[in-house]
Amino acid sequence: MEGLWKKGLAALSSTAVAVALLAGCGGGSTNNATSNSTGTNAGTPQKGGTINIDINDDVAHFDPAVAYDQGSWEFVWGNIYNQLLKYKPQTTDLEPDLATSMPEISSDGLTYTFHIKKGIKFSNGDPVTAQSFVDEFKRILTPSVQSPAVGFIDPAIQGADDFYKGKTKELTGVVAKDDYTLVIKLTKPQTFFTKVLAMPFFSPVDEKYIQSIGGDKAFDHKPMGTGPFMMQSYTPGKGFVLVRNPNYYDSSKPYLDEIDVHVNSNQESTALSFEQGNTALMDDYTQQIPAQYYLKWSAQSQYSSLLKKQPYMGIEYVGLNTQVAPFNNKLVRQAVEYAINKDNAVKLANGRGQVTNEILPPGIQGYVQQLGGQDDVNYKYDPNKAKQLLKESGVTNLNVTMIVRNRAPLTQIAQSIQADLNAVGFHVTLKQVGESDYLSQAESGKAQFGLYGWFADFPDPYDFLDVLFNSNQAPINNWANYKNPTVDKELQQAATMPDGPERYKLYDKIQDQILDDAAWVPLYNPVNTTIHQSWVNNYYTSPVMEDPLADLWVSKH
Amino acid sequence: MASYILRRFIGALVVLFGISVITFIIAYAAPGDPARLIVGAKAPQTVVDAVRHNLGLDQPLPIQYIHYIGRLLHGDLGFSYHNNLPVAELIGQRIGNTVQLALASWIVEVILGLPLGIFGALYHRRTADYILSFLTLVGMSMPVFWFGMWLIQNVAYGLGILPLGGVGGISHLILPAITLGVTNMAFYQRLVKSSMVDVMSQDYIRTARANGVPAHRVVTRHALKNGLIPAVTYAGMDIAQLCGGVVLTETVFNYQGVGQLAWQSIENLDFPVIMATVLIAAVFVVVMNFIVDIVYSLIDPRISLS
Repeated sequence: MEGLWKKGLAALSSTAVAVALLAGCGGGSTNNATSNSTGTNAGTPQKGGTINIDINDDVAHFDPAVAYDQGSWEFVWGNIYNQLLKYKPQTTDLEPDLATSMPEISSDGLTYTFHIKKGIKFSNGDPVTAQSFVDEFKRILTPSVQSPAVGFIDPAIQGADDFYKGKTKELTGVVAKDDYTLVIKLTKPQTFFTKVLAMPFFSPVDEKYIQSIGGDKAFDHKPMGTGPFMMQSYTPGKGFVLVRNPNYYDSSKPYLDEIDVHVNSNQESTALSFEQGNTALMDDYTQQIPAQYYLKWSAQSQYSSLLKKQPYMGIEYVGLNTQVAPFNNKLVRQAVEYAINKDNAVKLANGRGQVTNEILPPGIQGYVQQLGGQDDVNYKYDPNKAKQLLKESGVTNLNVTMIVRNRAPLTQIAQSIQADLNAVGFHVTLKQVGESDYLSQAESGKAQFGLYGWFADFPDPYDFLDVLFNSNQAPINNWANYKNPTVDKELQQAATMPDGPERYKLYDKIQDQILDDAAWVPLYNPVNTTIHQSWVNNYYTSPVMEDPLADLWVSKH
Repeated sequence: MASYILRRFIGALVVLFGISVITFIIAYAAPGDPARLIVGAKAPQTVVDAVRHNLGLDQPLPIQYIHYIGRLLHGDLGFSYHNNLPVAELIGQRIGNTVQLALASWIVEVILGLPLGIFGALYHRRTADYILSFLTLVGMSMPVFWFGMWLIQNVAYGLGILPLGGVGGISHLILPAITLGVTNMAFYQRLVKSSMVDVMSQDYIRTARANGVPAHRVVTRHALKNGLIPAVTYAGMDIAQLCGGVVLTETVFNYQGVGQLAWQSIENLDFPVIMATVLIAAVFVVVMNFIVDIVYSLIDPRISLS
């Protein structure tokens, strides 16, 4: 990634002038960056300037307890709010953010003690204390807030369940020992718990402020936190303005004075606005690059060097219900593994994906760059082998129904899979369903198989292998209905053992077992395609975090 | 007149009630769980159940409808599932934009449609008429999203003189109004032309001509008033439809009106907003029908309201 980045920078210098001439100057009048005739990304970051960003639809939620989608996290996570810990840029490694250091963890792995930086303020000037974090944990566990994050801490944190059920008003597992010490007690050890805490749900909030504006519902549109940016104004359906938070603890950040975010229902008009030099950047988190512009820009040198690809910590896969005929037969499942041509799926996704033969996605430790190790299970497209396996299985009724969401490119991919499977002897019926119907069908545990997807919440194999294959998750998340007592035992062990190579080795073993059992056909890891203006400096992509808005700076253009 | 208005008013209420029942049933009979959509795919079932209960979605459909109507009569359109904002606020922010665009588009339609209709009638069955008919057919057949995008690419972006989209003043109205005007003006052109052809062959026009009234005065003074009646009927429905929100044009031009809101709410399965946008459109149609009936009686005294 680093090498690619630098190559991109060198190529920029020659085109920057041309782009600057075209530019309608998206930067505001406050842009005080010194003249930089080369226009490269090299140089010292300059403070000041305004950028314009388009988003496809209104941001759903600005309340960190409620926000749980890409579009909301783009602005909530690390921008309006921040947390105890954060990810180092472009990595999956944690470092302290509002905490002074990584937490002290008791030897039994149950007690986490955080020391909070002194002098941290909310953007309105109110002080941040350990209680500000306790308040947010309590909000998440308050049913009327409707937080989707309950499952991350209930029952993992002591007393969470009683608090959620209204049995007690005190959350025994999260305690402000003093103003700057936060102690969290777990019910059982969770090696990945620090990664849970780095999610935007667990941001400090100002309860006094929330009450003053009229409660939780109002807070969803009038956010106020500790992050580098704060919201200046918001017009539903039209957009909002983020400005520098003068009380942000790191006085060197952010570089930008202002980010103007506009809702634009027309992706192509955003692309034209990008060509005019107005829109600063485009990607899946904001406004997706339309397919025809992606192709056009890839072929034009002034744009192609600005395009970046970042695989998601996510996967599109074919989930085979291991408890339902005919996929309760391992040979039939393995036949499916050999029958599907995954390259077609990526082509149908306009190249915005990379073929994978494993469960863990890139970015998560345990992902193997090149399968082919001695004990790696690695299926390759081989229709003849598929036919042979089907014959061996002796299963004759191969009429199967596949669930797929009715949106591009998934429907098209399902059709391609249908053709592949029919070619080896299946008779596949496609069942197209809407987004929420899809969930209820898949979670019913009765669907034979489907084209499903999963994106990690945090970069740990637990969030893939345990959530998706532990028998205690069937069928709610474990849509393959995969049940293997050995795997269950190993998953339990891996979830609690100390972090390190041994743990990832164990996860690797688990993954191989699941692949050998052929519960899934991994298809591809979706890729986020991004583009930014040559005068937007320090843009980078990360496996976990979204756009680094606080790190961006603009040179004169 | 008063009893007529009263009867029409009651009729309008029945129509709106019917529309509210139908949209409600369609919205809630559609597969999918709004509670699940609100909290997202990965929320635990307990949270989904709690949300469902809070919204009253666990109650029988007729009870839910009674609650919905009760709130509606108090002017409460509910909260958007997608972003927690009051629906009335979302609509209120956009309705003005939509009405502006509706009027601007309507003006373009009429400015293009009426003169071309008269022109067509005067050159009836001559080459110019055929060429004009063909061109209006082309205009009518163009998909608005295609023509709108073409204007954005070639006029807004290509010439760089107008904004690519959005709202904010007359410059933002020009291209969407032209899009709708050009694609819809054909209806006026055809209506005016055919009725003018009829009128122009009537006795009183012949008499006027025989009396030596100049040709342009025959058209403007004598023929036009009668020739316009079908166009007035159409204009009522047309304005109502435009005010109800033009989904595609608003979406292409990122014009923050009710039509764009309808589109976004359908994408998000945001039922309270979908129902509100449908109701708003229905209210416009009912109200405009009502106004057209009254305008009729003013233009043509032969039409009685009783």
